[in-house]
Amino acid sequence: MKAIDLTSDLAISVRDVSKNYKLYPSHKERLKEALHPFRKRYHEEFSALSGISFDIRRGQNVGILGRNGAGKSTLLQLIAGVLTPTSGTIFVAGKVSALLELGSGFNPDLTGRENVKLTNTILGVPEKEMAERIAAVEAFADIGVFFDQPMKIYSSGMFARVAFANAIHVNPDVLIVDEILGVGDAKFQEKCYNKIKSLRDEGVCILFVSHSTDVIQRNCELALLLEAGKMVKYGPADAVVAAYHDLLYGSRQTGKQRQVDSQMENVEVVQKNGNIELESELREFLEGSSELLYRRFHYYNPYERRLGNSDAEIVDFLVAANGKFQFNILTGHEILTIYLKVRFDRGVEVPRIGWAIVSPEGIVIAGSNTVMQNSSLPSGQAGETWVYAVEIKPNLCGGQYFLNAGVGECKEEDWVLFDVRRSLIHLSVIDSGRASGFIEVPSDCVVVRGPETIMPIDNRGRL
Amino acid sequence: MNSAIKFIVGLYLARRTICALAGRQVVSRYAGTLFRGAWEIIHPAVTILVFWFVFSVAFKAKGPEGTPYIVYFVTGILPWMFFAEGINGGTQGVIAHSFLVKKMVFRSELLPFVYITAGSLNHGLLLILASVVIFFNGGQFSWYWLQIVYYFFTLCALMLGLQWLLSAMTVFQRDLGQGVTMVLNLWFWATPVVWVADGVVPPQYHWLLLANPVHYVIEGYRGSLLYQQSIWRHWQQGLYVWGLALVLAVVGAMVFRRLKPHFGDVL
Repeated sequence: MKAIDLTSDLAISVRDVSKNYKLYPSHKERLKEALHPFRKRYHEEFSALSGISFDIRRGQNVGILGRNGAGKSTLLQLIAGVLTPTSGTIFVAGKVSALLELGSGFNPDLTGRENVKLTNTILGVPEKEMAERIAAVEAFADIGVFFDQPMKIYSSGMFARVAFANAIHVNPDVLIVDEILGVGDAKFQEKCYNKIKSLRDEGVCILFVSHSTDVIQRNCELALLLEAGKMVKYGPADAVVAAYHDLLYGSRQTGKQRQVDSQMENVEVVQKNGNIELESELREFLEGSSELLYRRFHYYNPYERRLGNSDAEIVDFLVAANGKFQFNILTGHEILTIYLKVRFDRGVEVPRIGWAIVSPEGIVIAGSNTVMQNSSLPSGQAGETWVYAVEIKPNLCGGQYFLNAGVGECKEEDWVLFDVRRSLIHLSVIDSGRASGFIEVPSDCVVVRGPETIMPIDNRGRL
Repeated sequence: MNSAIKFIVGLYLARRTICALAGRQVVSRYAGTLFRGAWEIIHPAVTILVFWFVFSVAFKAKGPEGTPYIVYFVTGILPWMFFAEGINGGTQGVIAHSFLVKKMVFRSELLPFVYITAGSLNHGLLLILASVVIFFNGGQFSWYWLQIVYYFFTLCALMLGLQWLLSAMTVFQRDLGQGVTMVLNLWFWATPVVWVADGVVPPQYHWLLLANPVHYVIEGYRGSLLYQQSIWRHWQQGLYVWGLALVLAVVGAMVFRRLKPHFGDVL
């Protein structure tokens, strides 16, 4: 029986850990340096992680978030003991089972069974338990006859199944899962997540890397956000996921420039809110300021994709939620107004303005355009600039969304695209907890017949 | 010293891991072949036959003092093959096991033992075959035969340090693997395995034979299996070879320990 006191309750303790990669001109210099009697330096330092400290207790699931190259995998490899930290200490209580990328410790030439047996032997499973262990892995992986085939012929899903099944059956105290479950099919993923939950209940500490924030929120109570090798945030999963989204979508530039910029931005916003009435943005927009207004707002996504032949261009835009130009997280029920400033470079008889709401995965949730809606816009001439307002009431559920906007022309069944700006606007919608999915659809449920009373129902089945 | 004891205890605890990896080593080499493990014998047996044919039948080579050439040759080539294959394989050991070194908490310093274990299986089988050859040529069993256990471990001790040294350095400088193959080839011809040393080596080159630790082992095998010679006959050379093995093991272990933390970064 494990005594539950504060010290033994600790599963992982990371103290001021840094990992520097030494970048050498070639491997030869690395060898020279490692063996040099006077420790001459042959390298340039690259800091993959710096000053990371955190504790994880038994039975806690922790998600690790961060952009590509933020240091997630390095951190997991350090905890797994595969890499050695440059400085700092890592304490891990008990056995670590790591699923680092695909095929943790598997040799593709051996069969699934042989590989499972080999890794279990290395991990010190006694001979007596071996047959039982392998049978359990085989049953969980559930890949049929392929279990006895060389792993090089496996599909990536089969590989993941065997790797995951193997990792959870070595009775780990700490389980590390690095972005591996994504390749399994939905049914297997469900099975894995259920298993992860039951492992957590048994007191196993699980570390997760996933780019799916949804998965992190569902499976982890805590999360840790890394950015450029530093720990930005460690705390409740929801808060960290929100910070991660800010990091991903809320900024316009990357790296140093962003920090400088965001400071200046704050100053600007304060001034605006303090001195000028709210609709000043619209006035400025309509009067035509020298700078592009949309660049001021955090909802602008600098990674938008643009396509079209540029015969007309969306030169500037503004978004208002319930008439307000300054907004952060939406409830999902606001009326969104998108003001588009369009400059025509040639005469266009029937201009077409379109919009769409898409999920981060690229699924179009809703969309329409003026031609579909039969509202004909007046024709535009070369050199003219028009401002249009598109009004949408989307009733979005909690999550992250993007807005597309485009201008085109409808000419005898032919659709010409002038300027389509995809994922132009990023919207964060808070989860109301009332609905799931993308769109909140009004719904209701009432009792039609209880055990004692019969309620009057009209002939269409309604109360 | 303390860490050496700790290491030996760890070695005992990891014995099943070593055996499993050594077994895998043998199995995976012949995976997908029809004769499987039989190749483990067929391969060296054919090599031995070819050498024997070329030297005995074509070159009319004779063994020393009336010893049949085949017996002389077999008792020399077996320890050499064990040594050369162990060094050749072991040099690539860390690289070949990168799937473990990179992805698991794996004690890569055990790898030389894996290669030595895998090789000794094959060595044992071939020795049985060799004893059949000796019987057929009029040799007889004597208690001196048991001395080859000592010579076998001498060879293992030599290989251990060399494998640590070479396997760690090859990770960073892969050319080393090619160099090792070449040096082993030269070493093979510099050692009286296929040729007979008596009266062939000019006196000014005798030190080369004495300095060659593998020569000591091979002569030990021959002395034990063919000539009823005691270990003590060459005790000074024995001391030198064990001293060399110890120095190699210490240097090898130190280099390996220094380079090991970098394996994950380079592989």
